[in-house]
Amino acid sequence: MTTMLLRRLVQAVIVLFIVTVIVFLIMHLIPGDPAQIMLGSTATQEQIDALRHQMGLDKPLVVQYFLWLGNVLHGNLGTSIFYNQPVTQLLAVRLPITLQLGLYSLVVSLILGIPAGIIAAVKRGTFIDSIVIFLSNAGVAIPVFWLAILGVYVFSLKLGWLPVQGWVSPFENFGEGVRYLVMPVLVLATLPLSSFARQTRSSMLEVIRQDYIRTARAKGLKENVVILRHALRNALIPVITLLGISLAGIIGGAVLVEQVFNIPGMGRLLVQAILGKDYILVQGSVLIIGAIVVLINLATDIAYTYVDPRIKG
Amino acid sequence: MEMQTTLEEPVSTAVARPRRGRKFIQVFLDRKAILVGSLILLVMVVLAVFAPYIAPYSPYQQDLDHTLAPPSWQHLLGTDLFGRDELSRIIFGTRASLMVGVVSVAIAGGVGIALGLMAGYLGGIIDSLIMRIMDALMAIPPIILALSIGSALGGGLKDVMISLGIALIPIYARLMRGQVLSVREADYVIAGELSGSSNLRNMLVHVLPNCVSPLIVLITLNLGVAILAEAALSFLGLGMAPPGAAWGSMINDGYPYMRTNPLLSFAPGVAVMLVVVAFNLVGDALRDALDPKLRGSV
Amino acid sequence: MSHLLEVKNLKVQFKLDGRTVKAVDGVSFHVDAGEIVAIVGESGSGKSVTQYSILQLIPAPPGEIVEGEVLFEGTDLLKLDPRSQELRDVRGGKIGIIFQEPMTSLNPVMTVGRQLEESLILHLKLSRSQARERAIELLRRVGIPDAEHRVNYYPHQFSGGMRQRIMIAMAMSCEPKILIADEATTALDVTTQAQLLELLRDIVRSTNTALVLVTHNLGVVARFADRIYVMYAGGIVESGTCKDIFANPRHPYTVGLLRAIPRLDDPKDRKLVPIDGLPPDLSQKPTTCAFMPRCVYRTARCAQEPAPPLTPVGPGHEAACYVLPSAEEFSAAANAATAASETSAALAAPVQQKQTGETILEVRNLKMYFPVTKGLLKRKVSDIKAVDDVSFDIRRGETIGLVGESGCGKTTVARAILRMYDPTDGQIVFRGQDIAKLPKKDLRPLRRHMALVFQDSYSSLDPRLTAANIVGEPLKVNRLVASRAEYDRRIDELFELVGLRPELKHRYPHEFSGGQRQRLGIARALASNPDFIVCDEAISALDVSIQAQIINLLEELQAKLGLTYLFIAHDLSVVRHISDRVVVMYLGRVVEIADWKSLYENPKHPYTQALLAAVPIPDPFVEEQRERIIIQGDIPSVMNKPPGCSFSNRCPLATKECTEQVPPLTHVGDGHSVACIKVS
Repeated sequence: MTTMLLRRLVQAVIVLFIVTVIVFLIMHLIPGDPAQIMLGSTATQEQIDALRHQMGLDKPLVVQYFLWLGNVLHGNLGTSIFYNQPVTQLLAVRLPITLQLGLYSLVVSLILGIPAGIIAAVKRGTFIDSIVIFLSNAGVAIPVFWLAILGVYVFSLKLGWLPVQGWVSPFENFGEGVRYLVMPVLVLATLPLSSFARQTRSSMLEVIRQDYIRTARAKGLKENVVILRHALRNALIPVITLLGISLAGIIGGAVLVEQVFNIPGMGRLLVQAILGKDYILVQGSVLIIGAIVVLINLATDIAYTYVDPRIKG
Repeated sequence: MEMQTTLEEPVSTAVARPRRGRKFIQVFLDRKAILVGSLILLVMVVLAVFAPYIAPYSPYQQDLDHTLAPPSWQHLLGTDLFGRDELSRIIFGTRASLMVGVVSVAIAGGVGIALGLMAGYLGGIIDSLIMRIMDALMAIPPIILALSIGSALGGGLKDVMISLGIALIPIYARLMRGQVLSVREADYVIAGELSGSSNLRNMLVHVLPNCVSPLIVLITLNLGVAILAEAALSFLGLGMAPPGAAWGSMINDGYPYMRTNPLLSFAPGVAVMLVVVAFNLVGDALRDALDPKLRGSV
Repeated sequence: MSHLLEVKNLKVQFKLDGRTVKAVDGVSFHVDAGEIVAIVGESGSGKSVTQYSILQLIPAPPGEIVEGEVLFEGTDLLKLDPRSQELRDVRGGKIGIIFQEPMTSLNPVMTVGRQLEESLILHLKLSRSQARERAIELLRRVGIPDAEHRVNYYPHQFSGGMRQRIMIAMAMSCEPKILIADEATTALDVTTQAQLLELLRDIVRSTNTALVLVTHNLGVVARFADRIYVMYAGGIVESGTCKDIFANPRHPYTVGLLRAIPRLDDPKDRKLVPIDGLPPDLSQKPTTCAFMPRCVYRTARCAQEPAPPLTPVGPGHEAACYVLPSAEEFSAAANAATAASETSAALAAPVQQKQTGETILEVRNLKMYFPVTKGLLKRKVSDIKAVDDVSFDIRRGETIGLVGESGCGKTTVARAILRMYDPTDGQIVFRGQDIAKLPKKDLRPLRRHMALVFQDSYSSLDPRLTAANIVGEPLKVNRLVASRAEYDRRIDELFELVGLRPELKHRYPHEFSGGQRQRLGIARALASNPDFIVCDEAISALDVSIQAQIINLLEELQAKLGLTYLFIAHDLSVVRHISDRVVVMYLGRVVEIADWKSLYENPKHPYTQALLAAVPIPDPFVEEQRERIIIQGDIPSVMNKPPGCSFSNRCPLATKECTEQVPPLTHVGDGHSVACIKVS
């Protein structure tokens, strides 16, 4: 088991390394000169060359990469071109907000999605099942940002229950913070919630027809014991696999949700940086996101070994 | 309790089953969902192809006397900030959506399937290398990856297709690799080898055709995903240049007029949803029809 | 007198893809306290569905219990709601069930202890700690060594045999009145099967529990059952005491079954009499006798009148047949069938006596090791010696039987010979050439001279190709035909050779029955005119009546085409029937080689003796007089072979010196070799 974890860890490090290469390549192998972009179209060739030299852009690409990687390993993600602030400082303020959004959404989608899937599977073919199928099918098809706008229209503009946009940290003002959180979190949870419900339902249906469920019934166990004690744990194994992918999806969705609700998180920052070609900021942010996803996947793998004893050893 | 039968008894007596093709069509049509899905898709394709003949107005024709008009008989969904007919713009928007969907999935499928095939068939260090790169690509949320690549490339519609195509590659590579690994161990592939077949012949005659079903399903479902992503990217400002009609950017353009003209944002959103739901319906039905083991499970 | 369990006119159907399959169609039977009742039938006969229906355990939908009564202790169990307390008290409490698949019938994510305790707490209202104690006791009772520790193990940490012991412990935990064992030992090795059946009998006899044995294995039935019900196509066709059924079977199907299986005590030249045709499709079951289309005794009456009811043919003996042929008629028909097939075989191959020619394949010191890796860098730490120093040879025209239980390496030997693996060491001389180290490229032209018939006919046929394309593949890749016309002709010829109508050649594999698919597999193997064919458990997945068809086909083809077979099987009776010489393997090594007669009549290695003793003979009279030594313990994993002789830890003769050296295979005369230092 330790060997397996060690192997996973090494794999995660390799993946992370490749992430840095990808991030670096996207920003550097592509047409357009950052120095030119930063200085605008009126700059002279000398000015551009000077800046290129200052930024190290005149060095070979491989050298540039390792210089950057060396800095990254020392915790230095560079200085944002647009904000003229260290990327780490910018992220330190904004990352927690995005992480909060993501975490709350993940929790909400698990709490609602898994039971919905179980109920649909157990009541297969009934009205409740149809409702769950319908909603989860709709949930994976709705554009997140559109749902956010719809939410704003109904709950903020028409009903006036919730604020239109903005952010108040729940740690500073809990009541107000929650009011600002409700809609972004629910909107962001829609997609993962639907996929959890779908996956739970289908793996539950798969598990229910296994021989060991028949054994459990043949013992005379109550149906809910059969479902909760025997079927659920087996059915959750594939759901865990979904966790890592869903997290990547949630962070992606946060980019859009922060845009609609005007939340000062990393997602908004990243969109501005990408569209404004602030490549140092983009490199830093995407790298951090990649690292988070890789770590979560690692955690998922570890969780796996606890849920499924067959993997141990 | 409800469950799919796994008792070998009644099933194994089924000696004379209908032919494969008929069975497929029968299961496919048994689902009403498929009818709805296919119908929506058909309508969408017709709209995209014949947009200039169907749309009541040109999507670019401005009418500055009638900006932000509410729905009326002249403008069924009203007009936007420049007095352009919302309905016509949605109809023309079908083109961008479907095109991005098809092209980006074609890129992702083509590259991903080839990579997965290589990884699964060659194995060893090549397999590890390809799959770690895929893992790394998957570690970056597809929207962010596509946004970065698309923006770096320039940000036009073509760039969106390429960037989405790249972002979706890992899904295909992974699926294809898994398929190859399981199919190449199958007895019938070994049987081919023992008959004296060359590796290439075995690959073409036995392995590939048996990997196809889940790929078809994935491609169908992914068309929806790509269209959804395209809408998101154009909502963020990437994709078709301004006068052009794309659903995502229309939602964004309408957002400031939410209080007075909610339809400007809502209507294109509904269009996105319809297409995506349609692809999902067809995809799920395909899965059920192509894979009897999964029949009825989703 | 009222019975402990009485099932009356049970009808169960399944609605699948718009068809209604009448899986159980009017079955009545009873079980009395303490007796062992066997329900015998082939797959599709409805024997398992009947048992599941008693406890309403069939999946519904698509299953549906249409009508009938199940009277147990005065209550009709079918009237109870499947979720009701009353029915749940019966399930697991008063009626226990053991299922067929030990590998999938236990919950993989729960320790076996908890799975056992669950029942005890539920039905016997024990406390958790009491339940734990009792669970350990039960595990010990069913022969799980080191039960105090193993109680915390997960199912995957046990072998198949051990898991089935745990299932028995679970089913017996609450001292039920009836225990239903649904093909409970079918998936297990023959020695394990024997151990478990003895265990089951001991337990039910000592607790006066009634046992319902659901099985297709007539040998098991003959040894253990008091009474027998024979099922066919959803109905009971004959019932009676064990001795009556075997000594005086009255239904043509029962007789057919008995004639179709080879027995350990058969005369060698007995021709198996298969039951022709296939069981009916139960969604289109005729109203007349379901067996009629396959019955050689059918009369005009059978075709006109509705299916015959069970009628008494003797005290406690009933059969559902209008004709009820007498014993003389049965043997006359059998002789006629044998004679007919013999003449056809004789015409095809003028030489009756098998002539074996030169050595066609020589296996010398074959070793097939698989590396065991450990650690981050996957360093090789040891080897799994799946095949360890195996030598034997095969002569043209003979059939070599290769037997042994799971993990003995028989399939690995076959795969190494066919070069599906690259052997670690040793020589495989085929047609005068050592192919053990031949590169794959140079191997390809040799492929056409050897062929394999797979165990699983379904997975070995490419589902996307038509039957003709599958059978024709070797012809195409080896360029064995000159023209399209010749190709078509050859395909037709091959189809006819294996008894399939050439019209079927455009169909896909899933449109054939199991037996037909196996015929396709044989046709493919024959396509390139090979000298040598490996049959890897080629008949073990088939029902007995179909098995006989395929065995006969293989024998006929051998006579006609002068084929050489390496016949791998775990069924010792079948191997005895078909083989000229037999190789017995245990944990990667050959323990005994001899011609069939000396091996079966004078087995020398203690393992061979134990193996033969474990095989039940489908004859209660013979079984009564058989003395048997059942070896104890499980087959160790190939990774933990005992030192010295691999069998030493289970062998009754073993002494200290057996653990000190690996006994070499020694010739003891007359082509008989044994690897045991206790045998000289």
